[in-house]
Parts: sequence; C-alpha cells; structure tokens
Amino acid sequence: MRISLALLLLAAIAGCDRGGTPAPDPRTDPYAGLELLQAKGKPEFILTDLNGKPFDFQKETHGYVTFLFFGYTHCPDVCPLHMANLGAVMRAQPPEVANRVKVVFVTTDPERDSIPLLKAWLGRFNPDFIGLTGTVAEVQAAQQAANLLPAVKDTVNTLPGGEYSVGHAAQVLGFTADDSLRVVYPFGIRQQDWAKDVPKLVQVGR
Amino acid sequence: MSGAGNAGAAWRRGAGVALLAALAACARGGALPAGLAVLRPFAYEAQAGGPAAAYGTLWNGSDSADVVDSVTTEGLGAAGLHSSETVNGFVTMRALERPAIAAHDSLALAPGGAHLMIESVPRELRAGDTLALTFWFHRAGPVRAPAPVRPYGQ
Repeated sequence: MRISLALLLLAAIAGCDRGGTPAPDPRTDPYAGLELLQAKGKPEFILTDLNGKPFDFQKETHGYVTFLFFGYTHCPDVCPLHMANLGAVMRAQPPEVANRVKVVFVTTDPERDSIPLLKAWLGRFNPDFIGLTGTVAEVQAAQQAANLLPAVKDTVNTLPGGEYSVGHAAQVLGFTADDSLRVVYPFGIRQQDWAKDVPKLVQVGR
Repeated sequence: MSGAGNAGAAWRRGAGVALLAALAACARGGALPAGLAVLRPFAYEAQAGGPAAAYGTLWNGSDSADVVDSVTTEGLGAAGLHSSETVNGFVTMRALERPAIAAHDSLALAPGGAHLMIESVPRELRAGDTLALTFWFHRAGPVRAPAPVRPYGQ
C-alpha cells in the first residue's frame, strides 16, 4: 500500500515537472527498468572526453535523455553487454528519438583504459556513445557525485596472467531531459527492455 | 520500484532454462550424456588484446562428483573459471578454484555469474567463429567444448 501511494505521489510530481509532459503512469505502464520512487538530480562532474577535451557532464547532457554507466574495457561481460544492448537498441531508434539521447560511459579503470583503447572498445557498440576518462581521483569523485560506490581495483584476486579486475556499480543510470534520475537499469536488462523504455523516457520532461 | 526487479538474475535463469530444456529433451526420449559434458557452450565477441568470456552448462551425468581442474584453449592463451557477484548493485569478480560438481548435477556458466574468462585473446573474436575449449575434469579427464561466438546480447 505504501508503495502504491508513493507511486501515485511520484506520478503527481512528475506530472507537475516544470510544465513538461507528464511521465507515463507507472501503475499502468511501468518502465522495464527500476523506477525510483522519487526522482533525483543529475550529478555534476567534469571529466575528459575521447578527444582529450574537458566534458562537463551536466552541461553537455542537459536536455537529453542520458544513460550513464561506469565500467571498464577489461570487464568480462557486465560492461560489454550493457553497452552492446544499448548500442543495438539505439541503432534501431528513429532519428527523432535517437537524437534526443546521449549514452555516457565512464571508465573505472583509467590507468589501463587509454583513450585509443576506449575509442576502439566503445566504437564497437555505437560510435555515438560518449567515453570519458580522468585521473583515478576524478573518476572516483564522479561516481560519488552520482551516488554510486566508487569502483575498486582488485589487486588481491589477480588473474593468472597478472591482470586485475575492477569491482564497480553494475547499473546504468537513466536521466530524463529535465536532468532527473528516474530509472535505474541493473545488469540483466535486455534489449527488449531498453527498446520499451527509451521512447518513453524521451517523452518525459520535455 | 517497478519493472524488472529481478532482471539481474535473468541470465542465470536463462542457463537454468537451457538445462531444463535439455532435461525435457531427455524425458522425451533424448538423453543427457552419462558422463561429463559441456551443454550449449558459447562465447561473446571480443576485441584483440582484451578479455573474452565463455559460457555453457557443465553437466555431470556420472555417478561420482567431479572437479574442474582447469580449462585450456587452442591458441587463445590462459583461461580460468571466475564468478561475478553482484551485491547491492556492486559487481565484483573472483576466481572459482577447482569447482566441484556433484553426481547428476550441473554448474551453470552464464553472463553476470560464473564464466570462463580468457584473459587476453590474441585476435579479435567475431560472431561465427568457434573457440576450441577443453574442460579438464579430475576424474573424467578432458571434455571438449566447441563454443560458437555470438554477438553480444544474443
């Protein structure tokens, strides 16, 4: 019952968002991702894009549906599957939807993920995806700004060849055009889930 | 919250479904192997120099427990079994040291969970390739598992 009341409240708040288009009613048309009971703000951070230029996340993504993910290129499956699924779904969107969406991947392994490596890796999934890097401290601060546990380099359980893994948040954060974090996508979300949510998110907060 | 609350477990459920399908085939007159087998092995595409992951269901159809001593590849370098574990939305990975599989039981390797990790593939793995993997069981010895490469997400 409390959840239903909270969802009603969320629908009411979303409907009043700066005079924008009301969010779809989560009672009758839920997102495939996990909708927050209360929308949160967009984090502020500045990192470096794959052209070596500063990238002000909040400013550069303002007005766009934005999917933000923190991962690394040596990740065995969680990171590439998230990016591949999103990449495939974004390629299938009509321009009026695709042009209103930005996908931002921040490396949690900036020591190993060079800009050329990030470019090649991310480009496999979708050349329009935005890759960001920075110093370890900058990337850590960005995760904290996004209310995520900062990634941890695992130097204890090293792999046979001496490579290491990185523990990191497994979810993609989904922001609407009004700079609100509304939906979270855990690992396991499928292409059909993204395909359902992307056009809906584009309608919110315009 | 709404929507796919258990989405994180979907892949592992998929592996379970694969095993159930195999069991159902058995009930219809097909047969699961009496010994050790790797059911429906597959791998995802991977970039040269990066890691690759392979999956499948390790099935022990023998009457004794067995242990995976190691896994070898043909021409792809070192490989080991690992397990990704997600707790409170935070995913970490650890090595699976010689996992045991009870008699008539299985171990599912599925995205987001246990998997075979090939640390650094020397060439790009493309959809349509087949990886020559061999699982070395302590009792049963080598079991070959040709793993077709799939595009990510399929």
